[in-house]
Amino acid sequence: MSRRPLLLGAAALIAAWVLVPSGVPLYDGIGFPDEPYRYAQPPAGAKTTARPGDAVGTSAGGNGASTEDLDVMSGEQGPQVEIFVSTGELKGPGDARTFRIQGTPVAPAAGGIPIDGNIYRITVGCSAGTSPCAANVQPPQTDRFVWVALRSTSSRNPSPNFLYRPTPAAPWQAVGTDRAGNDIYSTTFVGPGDYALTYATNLPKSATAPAPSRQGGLPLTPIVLAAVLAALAVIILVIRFSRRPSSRGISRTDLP
Amino acid sequence: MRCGKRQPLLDYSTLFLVVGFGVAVWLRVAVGGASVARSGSAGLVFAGALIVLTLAAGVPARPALRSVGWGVAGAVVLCVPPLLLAGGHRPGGAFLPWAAIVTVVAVAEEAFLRGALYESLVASRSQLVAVGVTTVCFAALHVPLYGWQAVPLDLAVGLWLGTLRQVSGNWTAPATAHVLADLAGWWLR
Repeated sequence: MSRRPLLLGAAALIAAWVLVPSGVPLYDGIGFPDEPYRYAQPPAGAKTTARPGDAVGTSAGGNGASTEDLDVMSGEQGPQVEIFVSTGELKGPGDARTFRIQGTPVAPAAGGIPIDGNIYRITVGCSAGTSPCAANVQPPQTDRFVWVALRSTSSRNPSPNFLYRPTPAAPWQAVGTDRAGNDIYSTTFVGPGDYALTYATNLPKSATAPAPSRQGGLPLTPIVLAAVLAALAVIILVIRFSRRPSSRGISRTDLP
Repeated sequence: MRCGKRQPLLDYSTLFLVVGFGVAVWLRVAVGGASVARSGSAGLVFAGALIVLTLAAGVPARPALRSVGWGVAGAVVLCVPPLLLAGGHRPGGAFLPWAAIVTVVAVAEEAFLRGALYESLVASRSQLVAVGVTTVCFAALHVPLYGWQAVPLDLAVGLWLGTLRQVSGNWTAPATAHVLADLAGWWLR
């Protein structure tokens, strides 16, 4: 047996590792389970962890709006905050060239509504040349999304609810909450300010514009794709069985 | 007799397998959404889709014990670079449920890519084309999970798994290597 293919394969593998620095030796499968929740200020009895990270990202701008999708998340295994803003949803002055969004973990103050995990303070800004400018996020248009997702400290039921306040001094408001994963919850981004999750049941009054869901309704796309896949499987099966008799006596090259 | 007709690039069966593979990847992304790389349910849906396609195409050669040895050796080669470059690590969470899902997904991928699709390509084209196409498919399926920056590494890994398939003559070898390398990822990060 020739060793050449094996040597070539191994050489390609080593070259890829040398040329492409990667900290992910996971070639496939699914991601690792979440690491323990990182608290900005760990409660008594919580595991000692590294400090939670920020989610920061920038987008190019043109004509007073962002010109690319912006998806930023913090660096924990199982990001604790993720912010997504579709192209054009970040607005600023006409000469804004760069838009920036940042989510920073903040420890909740004692008293008041019990917060699950950290509060995430989300700020939005832009720069025109070297000068900073004020930016904001407009309510999402059709087929565009502006949302914030937070990881809760557990996946227990009933699910937690999202809270929002425009400033640290303002009272919390309940906003619409979607379950986006096992322990991940999302809400439409209603503006810069503080976002948090709570398991409390005595929620404050809802904000005036609580977020249309980014999910909801029947999951049409997966159903359609599953149907297409089933149809393809049937076609492959039909082709396979239609070939069987001919493969016994006639070689492929004899076929017209 | 061919009568001078050019052979099509891929025969219909192979073409539908490739299209089906694309639909399966799309389905995984649709189910997993923003957290597709971490979604166990999306991974299982993807594995189920690949198993359906593999069964439709006909499950190729039975697993062979001799190929397991090739697979173990292949996994060692896959694990050496991360062993040298990454520090020891153990994430929080339960190992067994994670390992079960990872194993199902990896075996389904190998049964389809280095099993059904590979056999179909060898029958219609050649071993070289089979290794090439399955390598590209392997790299492409990881783009939604890890982004374009992972493509060079996944091309190399796909080529290595394809080579194992070629030299061992059975998809058991790449499946064994794939599963072992994925499981080793629990400690190698």
